[in-house]
Amino acid sequence: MIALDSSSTIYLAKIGLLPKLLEIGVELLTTSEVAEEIKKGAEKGYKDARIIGEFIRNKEIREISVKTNESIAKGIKLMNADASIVALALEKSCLLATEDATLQNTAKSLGASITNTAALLYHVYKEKKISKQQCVMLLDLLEQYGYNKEIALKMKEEILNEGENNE
Amino acid sequence: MSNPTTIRLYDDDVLFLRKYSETKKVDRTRLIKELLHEGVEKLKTEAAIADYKEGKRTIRECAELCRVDYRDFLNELAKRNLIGGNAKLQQIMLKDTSEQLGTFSS
Repeated sequence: MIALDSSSTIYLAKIGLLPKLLEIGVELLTTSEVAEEIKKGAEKGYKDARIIGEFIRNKEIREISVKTNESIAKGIKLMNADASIVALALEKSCLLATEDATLQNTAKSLGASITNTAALLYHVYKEKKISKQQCVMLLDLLEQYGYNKEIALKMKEEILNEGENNE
Repeated sequence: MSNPTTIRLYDDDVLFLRKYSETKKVDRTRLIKELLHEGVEKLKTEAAIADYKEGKRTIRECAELCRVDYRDFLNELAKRNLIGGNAKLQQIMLKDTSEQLGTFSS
């Protein structure tokens, strides 16, 4: 199960990874606050936001209202949507997917398990839903979309150093 | 709202702005005000990005500081290849991911 922040949802949609995650049986959740942010993106014409909107409408990404966000917001001074997604991950004891470095640090310090698009891409590759070549190509695509080059390089090294898996 | 402020400009800039405003038939004061505003907005974005890189603010907090949408600030981070988060946490994220989503199929 994964609690999806806007940033990861957007990047997972950009590289077409949301269906692959569903294919391997991962449950995808988000909060109403994050869903609202995505909706604004769709209104502004972002194609990926429209795709995510479809996933939410089809309940492939379940929208959840969390109750504990206020206490988290007060405790560590997070904004509503930030607090809601961290609260959801903690409440469900699931992964929090975000591309936000500050939110990753905060969530980790609160005891949440964290992930990002690159780590999820690697997981899908390890689950043999994409080939090594596809995985490297999608990491290149992430870089073109503004992904951290150091992270992309680390992931490529991880993949290329492990032999001929998934060829 | 605007406040009157006196500033000394470089001679070359004054000359250029005078010629430009005459040619384009635009109000010189308005032109200077808009140029300065654009500069302030850029400075605000750079300051927010510096805060983000230092881990002082989340993307949403930066967007609020710059008075832009979440998406607009995410785009600013993308322009600088800052999407993905903390590279130092990548190994931890890989570990958390495999622990939470189960072992890889053989």
